[in-house]
Amino acid sequence: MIDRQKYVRNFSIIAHIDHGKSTLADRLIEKTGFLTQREMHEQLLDNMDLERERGITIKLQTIRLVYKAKDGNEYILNLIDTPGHVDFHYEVSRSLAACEGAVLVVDAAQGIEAQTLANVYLALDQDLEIVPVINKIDLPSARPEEIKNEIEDVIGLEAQDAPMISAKEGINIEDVLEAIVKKIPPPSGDPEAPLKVLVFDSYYDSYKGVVAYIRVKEGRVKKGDVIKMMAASKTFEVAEVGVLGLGQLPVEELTAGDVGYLAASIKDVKYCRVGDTITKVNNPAKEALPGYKKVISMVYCGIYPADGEDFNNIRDALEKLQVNDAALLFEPETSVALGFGFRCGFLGLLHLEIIQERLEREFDLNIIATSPSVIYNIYKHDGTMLQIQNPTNLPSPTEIKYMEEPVVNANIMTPSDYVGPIMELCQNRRGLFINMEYIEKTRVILHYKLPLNEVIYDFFDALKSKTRGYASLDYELAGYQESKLVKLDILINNELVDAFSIVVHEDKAYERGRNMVEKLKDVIPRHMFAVPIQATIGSKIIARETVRALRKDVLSKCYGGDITRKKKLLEKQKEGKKRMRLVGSVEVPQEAFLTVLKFDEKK
Amino acid sequence: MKSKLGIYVHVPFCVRKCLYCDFCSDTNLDSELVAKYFRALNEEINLYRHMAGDYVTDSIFIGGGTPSAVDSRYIDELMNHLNKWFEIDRNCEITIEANPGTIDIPKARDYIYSGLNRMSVGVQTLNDQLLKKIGRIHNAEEAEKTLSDIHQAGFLNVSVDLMFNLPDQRLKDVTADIDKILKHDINHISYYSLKVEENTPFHKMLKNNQIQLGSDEQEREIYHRIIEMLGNRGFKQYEISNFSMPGYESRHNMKYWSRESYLGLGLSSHSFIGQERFSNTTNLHEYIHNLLDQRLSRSEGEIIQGKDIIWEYLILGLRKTKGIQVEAFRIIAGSHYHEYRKILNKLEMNGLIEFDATCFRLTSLGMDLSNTVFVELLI
Repeated sequence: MIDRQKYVRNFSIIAHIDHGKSTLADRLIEKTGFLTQREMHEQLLDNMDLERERGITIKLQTIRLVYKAKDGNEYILNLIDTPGHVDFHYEVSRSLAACEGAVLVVDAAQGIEAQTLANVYLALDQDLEIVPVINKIDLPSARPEEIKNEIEDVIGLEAQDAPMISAKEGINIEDVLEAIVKKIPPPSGDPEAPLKVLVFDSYYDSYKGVVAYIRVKEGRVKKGDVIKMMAASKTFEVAEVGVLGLGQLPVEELTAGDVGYLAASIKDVKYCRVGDTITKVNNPAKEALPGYKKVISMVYCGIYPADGEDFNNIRDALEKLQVNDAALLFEPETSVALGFGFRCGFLGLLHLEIIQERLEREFDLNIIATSPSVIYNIYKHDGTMLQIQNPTNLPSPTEIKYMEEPVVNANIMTPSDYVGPIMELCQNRRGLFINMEYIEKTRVILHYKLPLNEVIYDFFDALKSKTRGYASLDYELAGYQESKLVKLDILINNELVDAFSIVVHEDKAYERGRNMVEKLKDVIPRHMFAVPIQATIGSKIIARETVRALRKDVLSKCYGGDITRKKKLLEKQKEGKKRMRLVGSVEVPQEAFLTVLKFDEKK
Repeated sequence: MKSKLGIYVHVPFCVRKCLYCDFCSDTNLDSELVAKYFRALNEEINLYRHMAGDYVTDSIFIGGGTPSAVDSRYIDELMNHLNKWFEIDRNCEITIEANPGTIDIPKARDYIYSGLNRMSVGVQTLNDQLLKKIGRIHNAEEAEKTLSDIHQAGFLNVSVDLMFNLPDQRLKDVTADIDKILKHDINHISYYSLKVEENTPFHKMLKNNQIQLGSDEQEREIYHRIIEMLGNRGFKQYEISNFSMPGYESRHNMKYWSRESYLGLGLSSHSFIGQERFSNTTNLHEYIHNLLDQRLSRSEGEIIQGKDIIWEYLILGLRKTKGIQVEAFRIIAGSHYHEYRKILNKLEMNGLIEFDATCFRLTSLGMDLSNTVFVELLI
């Protein structure tokens, strides 16, 4: 059996966004002869439309490749794809835990970026063998020799013989395969030991129930085995195990070192979380594999049906999404302004945006999302502590002794030219400078401690715009800190619109309040009466604007009896009116709920 | 008894296009093109000869463009041709639009010989700077000369078109215009607020900040002053933008607002016959080509039915200051009456509509916000 492991390699590809991870994966699949070129879709592994459009991988895909190496042996290469964004840190770490090695793709022009490093650290945490690969050598701006030195200097990896490839053009792909076979160690693990299986991904299939993507660490598992999910404490009977070719290929048995899938008529993804350990009820493992974490939502927002949309449709859609996305939380809530909706929890801002877009695109729903929030710790005078993520639920200021907000350690990698603007940005976002390291003469990493509520508030967009897209960001949660926070409310026509309420640092309240009322003034149409818009903290008004009363709403003369054209114009106006939300007696366009949340650096 | 009919004839030629104009017109005054166009018009009249027998025509409006920009013999031929097939009432109101700079005493006399009895003169303003700014071909003196010329030629029924809300035009400019214009023998004024339409030079200029318009508040203030000033001088407002001495309301315009039948002839003209609306092509060459081939060049007709009839009745009727008779509306609205009445009551509460013993109409505020009213009624 050890012989069987000898010809297996389990690996991931890690890279910064856009450095060519998915393209390389496609090429590896093509080169292993698993598929003909004709069958290849562009970026085969990213199979959600949204992923393809954004060029990022959200959901894991795993595939088994068969490669006949130059040494004459046939190898099984299990390629375990990883999501490429900071929000999905934990998922990445679990995928890496299923591997013995990782192919590190570095862009020959851009070099090491923040997420390159973040991913390398994750891989090193798992003791993986890292195989550096220099991609995009076909670019005119490619500087592969410098990048090799950079990898050696910054990461400390031997990189002189790193394959120099162009995944896009299919150049030197064979070198990568050879490097995988030669450098990455085969899996180990005793097939006769008690069963230990790592779940590194799962999804819901309407026929098979939850399908777990697994790595057998020790022991063997087959159909009919009674298994136990160690964290979830649930037992199931295995219905099917198999390997992941282009589709799922059932096999008799998976043994230590194998990567594949397992189905056991599990009805709910929450019983089969990523990171959990599967063992057998008979002869169970003494302890679970290390590293399991229950994912926590860091960012929350309300999702409400826009006009004409059914609340139930949104619930159904969220339920369907949750089946494949255990990190998505939701529960019903009610807003005075928006009616019935849901409070949803996300891993981060990107996760939030992705869910919103999927609701709109895949489910064709018309939704309104409220301003994102984080979880605040509220310490009250009576000695109790509350955790609040919806600003509306904040107790009255008189009851609050003090509040804490979550902070993150942020690593920003940037060409040194942009250090000034970035520092200004971080300063502006209440960041605490920790230090700055030079990666090479012209590139640095800035380490900051930043309040999470500043990061989720469009920090990434601001960073990109200030650095023309050159800076990259990576962050991880770093606990809570006490902070002078206040609840900022928006009153439209003297009525509080709860959907606009936010929690904000005292020092930023005035600026944010002003910014919000100014934006609202621009998007709220004139009414027959003047509409005051106010930003308030408690009973104190900190900013005010007025939408003046509508004084004129006329169309020009009837063109020589052209009633049809007039009717079309008025019908269009009527359509526009339908997309409004009635707040008291004020019609608020849906876009108000979106634009107000978007920050724009006014410079 | 035969039904009454209004006829609109479009003459799409101009010496120059004004900077605010988005009407269908061509500055190519090439004699061959003009001749062809009028031949096409005659063909169009021929094609309607079968329906002509069902109607008696009591208003004709020759508009443009600038009908006075073409030789008067075309107008004469046109009138002859209309007379050939259509029964024209003895008291028919026959209006031609004329612009200063394209008309003199002999031409005006020619019109009278052709049977025309009303002239609508495009004055727009009597301020030279403003005339220049909006791209007119004439100055104030020429406009005033035109007014006295046509009077001298024998036109007793004269309307002028004026505009307000012109770039940088102030209230005092408007008052001056009114004072000057009322010195002439006129009995009807159409006073339009400039609206900058897309695809006009003004639209671009506005976007590039080359011209500035007054705020909504200023524009409305001027509008209400106009109503007041003209009212004081005997010109009663009878429609949102139209004013006249008693008995001189434009019969032709009233047809549009009362949903009476009218036939549009010529480029881009609109027709409403029975409950059917249709319009001619806006492509000059297509129009000429089709008509010279003895084919109409018009859109698919749209039969107005159900609630659309009620809505049209409301939004057109409400333009008139005398408003709509409640009882007449009850009949038009039929089973939908209460639905509409509910909205009308709400509009009354908002101060946009007022009811008296027999009628309902827009209030002064309602005129300012007429679109709001019309959109509310669109159900």
